[in-house]
Amino acid sequence: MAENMHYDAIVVGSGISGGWAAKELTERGLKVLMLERGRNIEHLTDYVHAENEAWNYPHRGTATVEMKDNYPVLSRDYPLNEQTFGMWANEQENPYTEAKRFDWFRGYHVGGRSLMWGRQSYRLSDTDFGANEREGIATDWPIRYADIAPWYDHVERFAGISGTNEGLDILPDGQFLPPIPLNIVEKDVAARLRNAFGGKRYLINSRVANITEALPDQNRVACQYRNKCWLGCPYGAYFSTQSATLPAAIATGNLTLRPFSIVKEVLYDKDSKRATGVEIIDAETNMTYEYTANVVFLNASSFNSTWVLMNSATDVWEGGLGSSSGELGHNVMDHHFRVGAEGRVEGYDDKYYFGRRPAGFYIPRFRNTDGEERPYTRGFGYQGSASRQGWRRDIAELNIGADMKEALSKPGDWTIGMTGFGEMLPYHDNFIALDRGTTDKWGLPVLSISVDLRENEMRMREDMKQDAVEIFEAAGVVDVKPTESDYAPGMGIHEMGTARMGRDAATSVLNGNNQVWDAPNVYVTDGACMTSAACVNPSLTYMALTARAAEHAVNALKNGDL
Amino acid sequence: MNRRQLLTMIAAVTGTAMMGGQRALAYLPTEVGTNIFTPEDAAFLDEVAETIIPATDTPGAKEAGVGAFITQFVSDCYTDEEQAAFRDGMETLKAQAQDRFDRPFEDLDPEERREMLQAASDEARDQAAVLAEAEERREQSLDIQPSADTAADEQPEEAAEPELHWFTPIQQLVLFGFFTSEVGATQVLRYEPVPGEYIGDLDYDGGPAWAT
Repeated sequence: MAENMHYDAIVVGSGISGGWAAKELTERGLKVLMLERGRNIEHLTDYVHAENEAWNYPHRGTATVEMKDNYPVLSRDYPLNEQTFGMWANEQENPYTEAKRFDWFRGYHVGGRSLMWGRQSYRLSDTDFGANEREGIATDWPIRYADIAPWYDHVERFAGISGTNEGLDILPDGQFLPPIPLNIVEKDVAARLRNAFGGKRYLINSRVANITEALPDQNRVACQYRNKCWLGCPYGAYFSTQSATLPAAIATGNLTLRPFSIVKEVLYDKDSKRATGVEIIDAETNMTYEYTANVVFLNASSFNSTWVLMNSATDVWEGGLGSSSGELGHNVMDHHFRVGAEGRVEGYDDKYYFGRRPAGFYIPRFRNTDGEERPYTRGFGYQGSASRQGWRRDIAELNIGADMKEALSKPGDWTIGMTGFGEMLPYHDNFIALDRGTTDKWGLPVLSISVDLRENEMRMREDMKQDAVEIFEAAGVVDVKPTESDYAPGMGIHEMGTARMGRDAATSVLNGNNQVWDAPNVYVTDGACMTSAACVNPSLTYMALTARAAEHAVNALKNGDL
Repeated sequence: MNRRQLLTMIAAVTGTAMMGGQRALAYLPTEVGTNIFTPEDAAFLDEVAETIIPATDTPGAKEAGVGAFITQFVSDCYTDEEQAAFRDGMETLKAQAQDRFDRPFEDLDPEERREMLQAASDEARDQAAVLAEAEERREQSLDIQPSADTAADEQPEEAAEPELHWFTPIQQLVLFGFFTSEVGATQVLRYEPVPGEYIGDLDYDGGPAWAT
């Protein structure tokens, strides 16, 4: 059978935003080719560790020295472990250059990081969309909350987000399934917090993409509280490409998925000023192929979508497609975190819990709102949880023997902890660029990354620490200690920016519909498009922007605008 | 939804219209490397582990196979330097048994073993406090921003870093190996593979802690 080389649309990447692009475009009748640089992973059948218990892993989950040697970047933080081994990009085959330390944790397979993501799902608010303009920072978002609100509704309903509506301006309500419950200690802290700080700080349920009610139309079963999401869920209880968007796209009969397809460049016709398709390298055979399409969606993950643009139309623009503004590759953001507090909660030794939640609590941003002015701009939220200590705790003066065994086999004190997630401003000189002197396994130039935190972030981190201590102390937590561990850009695994949206082709790469100004039939709807980072987890926003852009693209195709 | 419906839904796996791309493993099994210890080493560590976590009305470390686990873990997850230190720890313990009781550790009666390991454990705890203090001093010195006129010539003298006590890794590996084993997690602690719900306000029944 001859392979079809032309499609209505090509989607580059199969992670959270690529899956949404494929679903929305195919459901609107477009024949779509989805390209994924890595291997395929089948829903359910390929989750080979999903039923494993701790004792089934030879090193009980710990990374071996050999793993650390092969994954020097990944070994800097938790992602390198036995449970998810093989689910992160091979660092030997896919090097990158750290002009400054940047922890880049990549998922090169069908589903991308949607299989391993943290699932926290929050909306940006008008405070976020208006911040750059209000403060004269970077450039203005070309959209406001009202533009994206119906699309948040749309993606929340399908993805299945559990949570509570709280009526907060800073963290808009949504279309939620029943929340994953707070435990008794968290509820108590929440109640005490309501009476402190003038009622302006709230502890609420996490909003997570774990379904608390079955979605039979999607063959997804409600969360079983195993807290093993990152192994691929045998119930399809968390949102991933595999559990949700890919089956929907396949069901239309309009999707073709091609794994092992590294997109080398977008093919660009300078006469029509349109993309005509893409050129790929087959990762297994090293053969190159050209696929043509009327519209191209770049969803290869923030940096890789920009990498594709940088390698495209270089005969017209030396810096690549979208570089005419001088902003392509610039304004890298992440969320800075790993600073907060922890403490002990007394009075609940007669209480315990059942089940393992894939969630906890959230404290929405409260700084620099309502006219308050801190010595920095923007703000942060906290994610945390309370639980009783287990066997890992230290038992004073009881180091060996039956007494120690007995003591450690019982639950210990209730403890509570949280870490802040802070907004990082978009700085022009936090950037990625092509390092033509270094190539990957396929001879392609790699990215060089140069990003660091500035004064605004460092000042915010002081508040992230102090406020966490104050909040816990006000809520009656005892032995409160600030916590801080090293943060390097990238560790948030929320890398954003490098092809920002804007109102003007002179200062942005994408317009308000995520179209590349210089090639309107190329849409970029992953994290690359972010004009500012806000302080909330970004994936839900990528989903909403992607669905919105897909509708735009289909209408534009119909109208002959592309 | 009952269990049968649940299984039916799970079984409804979709097919994929896909080009190329033969199947490849998704999550990769991790490899076990060459074990650098002998079965005798594992047996010795079993005896040490059983002294730290003895069988009571529930199984102890030996039944959980902690000795063998530790030998594989140290072989694969420790650096050369850490492996050497771990071996030194084992040899120190053996030598101390000979010095003190003129017998190998394995031939000591339970009370003698306990006495030895309690002493080692007390030393390790004291040493841990010294290490924590050194760490705190180091962090404080990092917090002090050197001013332009002092930075160049006033380098603080490098004090010798205190070392981890030889018993600490042994003890930590015994606890880790035991409580993450099937025996430890399910017979000494409690484990529920598929809880199915979360109850956040439960009267504590006085029973074991959850394994995870």
